[in-house]
Amino acid sequence: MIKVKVNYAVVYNLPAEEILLTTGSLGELKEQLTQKLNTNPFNLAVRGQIADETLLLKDGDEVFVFPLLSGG
Amino acid sequence: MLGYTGKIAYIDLSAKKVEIKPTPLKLAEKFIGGSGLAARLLYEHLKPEIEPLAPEAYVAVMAGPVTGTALPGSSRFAVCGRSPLTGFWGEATSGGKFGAYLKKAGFDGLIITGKAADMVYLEVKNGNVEIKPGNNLKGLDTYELQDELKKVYSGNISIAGIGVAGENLMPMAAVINDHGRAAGRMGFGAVFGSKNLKAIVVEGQGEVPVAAKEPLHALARELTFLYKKEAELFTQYGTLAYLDIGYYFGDAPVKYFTRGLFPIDKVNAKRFREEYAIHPKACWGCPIACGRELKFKGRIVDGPEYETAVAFGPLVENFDLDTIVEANDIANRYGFDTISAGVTLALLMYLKEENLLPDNLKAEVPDFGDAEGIISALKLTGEKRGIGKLIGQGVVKTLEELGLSQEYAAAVRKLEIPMHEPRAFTGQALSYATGPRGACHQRGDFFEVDLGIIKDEDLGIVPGPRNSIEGRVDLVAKFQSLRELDNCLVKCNFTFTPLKAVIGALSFITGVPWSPEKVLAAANNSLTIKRAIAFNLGSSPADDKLPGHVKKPLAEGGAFGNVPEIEKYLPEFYQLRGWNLDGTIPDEYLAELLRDD
Repeated sequence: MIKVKVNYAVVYNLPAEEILLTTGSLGELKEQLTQKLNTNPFNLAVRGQIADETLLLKDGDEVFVFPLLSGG
Repeated sequence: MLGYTGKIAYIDLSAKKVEIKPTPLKLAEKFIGGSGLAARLLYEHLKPEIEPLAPEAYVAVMAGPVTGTALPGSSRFAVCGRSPLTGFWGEATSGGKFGAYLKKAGFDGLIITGKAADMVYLEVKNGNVEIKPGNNLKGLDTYELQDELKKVYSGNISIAGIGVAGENLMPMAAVINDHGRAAGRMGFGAVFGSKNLKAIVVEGQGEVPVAAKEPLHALARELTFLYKKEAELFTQYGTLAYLDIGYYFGDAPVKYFTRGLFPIDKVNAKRFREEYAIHPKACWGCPIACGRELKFKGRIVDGPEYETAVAFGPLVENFDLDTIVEANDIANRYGFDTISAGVTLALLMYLKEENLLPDNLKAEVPDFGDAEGIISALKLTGEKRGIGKLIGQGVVKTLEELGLSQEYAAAVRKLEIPMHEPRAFTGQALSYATGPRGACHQRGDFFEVDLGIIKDEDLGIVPGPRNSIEGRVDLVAKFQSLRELDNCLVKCNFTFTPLKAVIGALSFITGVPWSPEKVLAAANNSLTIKRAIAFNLGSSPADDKLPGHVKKPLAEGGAFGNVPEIEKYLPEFYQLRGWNLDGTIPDEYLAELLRDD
């Protein structure tokens, strides 16, 4: 089990939180977040870089969750 | 070929003459429409000896084949010609309803030259154009202009026009349509002003002819459903939603591109919503409604959008929301570009801080973060007075006038860099350096690719490491072509539609089969002819670069330490475009583009 800190883009209006993961993969985190964030598509960034679902997170990693929205 | 009204009006304001000619559909197959077709039609008219604000200069107001159809995001239009800000090829697009109504009034475009003896406006309806006296419109701001003309016109009308900044021939003056929609960049408001052209009124009564209405409507319904579902937060927050996302990745420039951190909790989408009663505002036929209207000091104002919120916010170290909203309203009313104005104001603040300004200017230029000073400077810009005269001409001419190095200019091809840090996304840096109009986020917003916001797996458009384009130069070129295609169609960038669907829509609209190869070739043609025009007007491949000011590594923030190295990728990029390895255009390619068949 690892614990990661999840920071949400402000439009989600959700406070940062710590989430426990069993496998530690970003895919596992994404699955948990999908239920929470309804159907709006989103991406995850770790250490300033968007990452795919196979990435294995480390204990204490910070993940930024943001919707697929553009600033024109 | 359907989708086109088949008519372009050529208007000579000096001769008070309107001539309506058929849209050259052979050329439309090669350049599609919008700014691409405009570039081809204007090619012979854009000569170095004709200054952008000379009576002989030309300006084109163009729609495209998708404009005014059921395809979501099809309300836009383009204003094109020689830019008074840069002196090179210029184009700017805007939403609202003007583009759709221009088509419905019977025209694919208006090509305007000459100079009226007194102020005039154009009335465009039922396939006709009339030049009308407009002396009563002189001196009106862009909102008063709407009100005044709506005393004369009602129904399905849309008005695009200029404010006082355009009348003052300010090189960054915008054309503003409807309420607060701007063909903002490159100074076409000044071109209108130089022709004594205050406004264009279009009355959109007709229907845009399409070849296969039912299949088009079915596709449009499908896309509308998709956009509504996926863009719910975009509707709620508009482009401001990107503020904290951009902050995280170091994409929002701070303090004239010298810093990477700012108090994001003071300037983000949530704060704007807490502070003001905000309503989404949609362009014609758009399911997303990314525009904003908000109540400010007892009145309804438009915006601000992300670009403006950063340009009048972190870029000038201002974190007071009222100041950002008011600054945006000033720019909208006077009619000037918020990006170029914010960048040029930030340059002056930077020069002041670095003690590089002459003594007589120091007192006039506000410090970073001086909210009152920002408002005052922007009013002066609209009125072309005091330091506003400097701000209104952009960073390059300002530095020239001050006798300072162009290395300080945050600009490419003399166009100010928009609010996406080139050091945050190397692909964005290459897009800026090679953009057809200079530093432009709408003709290659590659940051969206590397954030996974835009994907088209059929085309291999998938995110990669944002600080490197090694092995991905083709992707940057391809994505720039896709955005160029939007500008030819003329279609909104925010309704990103997979190429397959775009081709389906274009085929349904025109009745002619299109393929990925054919539309991407047309986009390449469009980029190439615009480059050829820029070269004719004094630019060269040596301008395909970032200025020194944004090539120093930032010491903080999400773009920390990255210096985009793009020079070594240029030959590959040129080759992908079919250009020579030195960035020039092969004679035979240009000759092919200039053939009329």
